[in-house]
Amino acid sequence: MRIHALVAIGASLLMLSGASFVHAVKPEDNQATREKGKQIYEHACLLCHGVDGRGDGPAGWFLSRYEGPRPRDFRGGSYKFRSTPSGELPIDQDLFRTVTQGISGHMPPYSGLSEEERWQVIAYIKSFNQGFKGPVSIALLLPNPPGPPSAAGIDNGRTVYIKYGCQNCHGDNGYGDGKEALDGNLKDTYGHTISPGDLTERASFKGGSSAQAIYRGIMTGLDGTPMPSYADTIGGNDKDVWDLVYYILSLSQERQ
Amino acid sequence: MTGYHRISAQALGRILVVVMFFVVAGLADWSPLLAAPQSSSESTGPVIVGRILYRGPVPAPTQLAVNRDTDVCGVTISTASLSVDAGTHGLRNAVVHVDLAAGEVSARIVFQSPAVVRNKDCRFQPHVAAAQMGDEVQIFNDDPVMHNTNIIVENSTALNVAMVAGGNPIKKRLKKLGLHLVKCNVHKFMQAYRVVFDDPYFDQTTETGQFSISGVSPGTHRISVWHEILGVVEKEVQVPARGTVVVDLEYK
Repeated sequence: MRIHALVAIGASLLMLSGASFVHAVKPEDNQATREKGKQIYEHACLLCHGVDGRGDGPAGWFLSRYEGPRPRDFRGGSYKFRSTPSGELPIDQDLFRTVTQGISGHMPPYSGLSEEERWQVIAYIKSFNQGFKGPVSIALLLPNPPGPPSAAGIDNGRTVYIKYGCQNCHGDNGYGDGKEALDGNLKDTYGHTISPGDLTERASFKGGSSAQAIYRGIMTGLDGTPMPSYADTIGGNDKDVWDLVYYILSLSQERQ
Repeated sequence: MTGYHRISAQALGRILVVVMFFVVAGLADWSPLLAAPQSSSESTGPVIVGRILYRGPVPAPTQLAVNRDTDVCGVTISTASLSVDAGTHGLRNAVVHVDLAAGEVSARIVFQSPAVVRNKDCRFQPHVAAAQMGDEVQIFNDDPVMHNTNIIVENSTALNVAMVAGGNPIKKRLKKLGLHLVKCNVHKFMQAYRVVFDDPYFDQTTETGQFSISGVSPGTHRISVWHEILGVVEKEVQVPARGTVVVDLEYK
């Protein structure tokens, strides 16, 4: 089982590490671009994110009025999926990735839009938040995996998982059934109860299930949720981080 | 005539460079670099002092059950969010701020102590503090258990960092204005507040409710007071060009 998991994770890494987003047609962020983005937004995003980007669209209000996660409030709300430090706005590539991939279980991928159209809608979304007019946030260094996982590394990843308290929310075996989750203590910044990711189920990885995406989520945290950033805690100890990533990937691999 | 030495062109050039250095140094205003670090309370000008009062009922501290790490946190946590001095009725941990006059530009702080958030005994210490935007916030975990420090401003994450036992302190800059709610998601009873302003005209009341704010320009200013339980009270005050003005505010 362990060998099978290692081979499968390695194959996944080969496929996923090559998945990059090319931005060959990023238009200039000007009024004309935002106007085109507005037209796309009104057809593709408004239903959940609302007319003014407050995350209060009719579908969003209906779906998440009383529990999280609610649609993103583009005016001042936190962005979960970033490559930037906790509390910072995302960089453009983060927004492009989210629009393209969607959010598993919550938001559809918009890869059907052309790249230019995705950039246009991103330009419009950014116009809701004055913070995007300030200095661009600096992305954390997010390296590629150092190599294929090893059994010893995954064992160490389990140790890291416990050491850094992942089980408090995600549960001892990663099912999202940690004590804090079972006690209903996990709230988003709006006070809505939310559930931690089920690490045994790839579809539960809202920021993506590639090794890089998991690494990114650990280091940046998911703003707006209880998931903290570990960049200042284990940053610099890359081996532990990658061992933890491989351990997390092994949990879903063993379930498949 | 050996009493004189000829000065070479090279030596003359060196002398000129040295002379020019002192001329330029004399013209330059070095005061910002040479001045001693100064906090708002040390600056000259009028001083606003006073006391924040509360004469209402003071409920007994709430005892919250601890749901984990009881060997470190204890079985219950006592929360006393309303601390009033019996003799003076002074209210502790209120944050007092003097608004700038219309059109006034905030003075720049030369030096400000870092804002500290200390995870200790499963509490955030201090419970309440005020700071200026741009100040460094230093977060410590003194407990042998893991915490996270999740700082929320207006439903938005300002900072959420994992604080493992024995880990290094984390240092960040305060980048958002307003009321900062500090929470630990591992220990839900842990909660604290930071209030961040974009000027240095603030203070936090002492155990007897006293505050002191200096450096404010003369004129009409509004004083606003925030307390986590009692909310906000405000009052207008005339600030003279010099001297001390005494202002007491009371929560009714």
